[in-house]
Amino acid sequence: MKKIALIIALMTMSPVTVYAAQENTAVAMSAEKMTDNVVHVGINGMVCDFCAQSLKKVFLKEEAVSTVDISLEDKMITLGVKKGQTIDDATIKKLVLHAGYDVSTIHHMNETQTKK
Amino acid sequence: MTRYLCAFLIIFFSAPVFARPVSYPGGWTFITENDDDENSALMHYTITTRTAVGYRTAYDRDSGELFNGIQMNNLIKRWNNPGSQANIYVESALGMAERPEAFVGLKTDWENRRVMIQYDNKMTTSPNPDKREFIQSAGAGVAPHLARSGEIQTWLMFHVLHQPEDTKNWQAVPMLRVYKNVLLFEGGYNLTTKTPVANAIIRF
Repeated sequence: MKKIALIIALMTMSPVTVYAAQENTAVAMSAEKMTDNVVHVGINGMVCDFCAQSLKKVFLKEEAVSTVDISLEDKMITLGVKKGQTIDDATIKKLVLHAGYDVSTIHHMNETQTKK
Repeated sequence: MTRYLCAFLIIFFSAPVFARPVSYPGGWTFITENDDDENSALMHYTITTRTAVGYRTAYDRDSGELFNGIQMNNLIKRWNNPGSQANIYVESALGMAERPEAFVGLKTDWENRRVMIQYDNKMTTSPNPDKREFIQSAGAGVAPHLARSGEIQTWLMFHVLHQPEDTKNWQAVPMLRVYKNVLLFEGGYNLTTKTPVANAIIRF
């Protein structure tokens, strides 16, 4: 009975895992195609995922931003900027302040620098 | 099964929270706090980085009265440091139970990713002398593990409540806090009154 349950569980979960992996790859590929520049923004005060989600929501409302990746360990968010668009330091600082946090560092990297 | 489901729903929707009374501008937050004194629900909208306004409803278990009113949360001061954050908030509400009622309270917290400390107080006033009260609480928590963004984070918390007018004026409440993305759930057990505590936050 346990063996049958195990086989059913494996059969049920495997396609989900494969589908999820495919979906993640597709998302990553589409983000890569859409993104020209990447901006690493160090954040002071980002100590929990609640903070991080607020920053994510605020930045995703910005026209030029296609993706927002969060690293709580490094206290940093990474912005993917849409091809042909830019986001300047003043706008980044304003949005971070708007979400209730402070900027510690901003590093802009273009596609070439990112591939290195 | 139905009994367990009912018990869960009663605890969840019938039982205080925790920090972050102000979200990001444009964000909605639903908070429910449930203990042996009160079951409350608050839905608030953050207008600016420093101000949130919402609608609060609370059922007082002792008097059986239902409070409905407007609540305002203000962020007075925030310290954003590289590895930590500290906040001072003021919460106030004005509304009606059987008679008009209002409260004002102070909430303070400091946390890094591993340790958290809190102090809150709340003073309620009403023409009904039985409804006037002052309550304060202090709490500390530790995170047994550090989760990445999007993963489940847990905190082990311990709260001490002090209510001078109450016969059981000191109460101890160990709690387990769990959150993931925009959902937070906190469950505990009041060792003094021997009753469960359950709180939750959802951010939109």
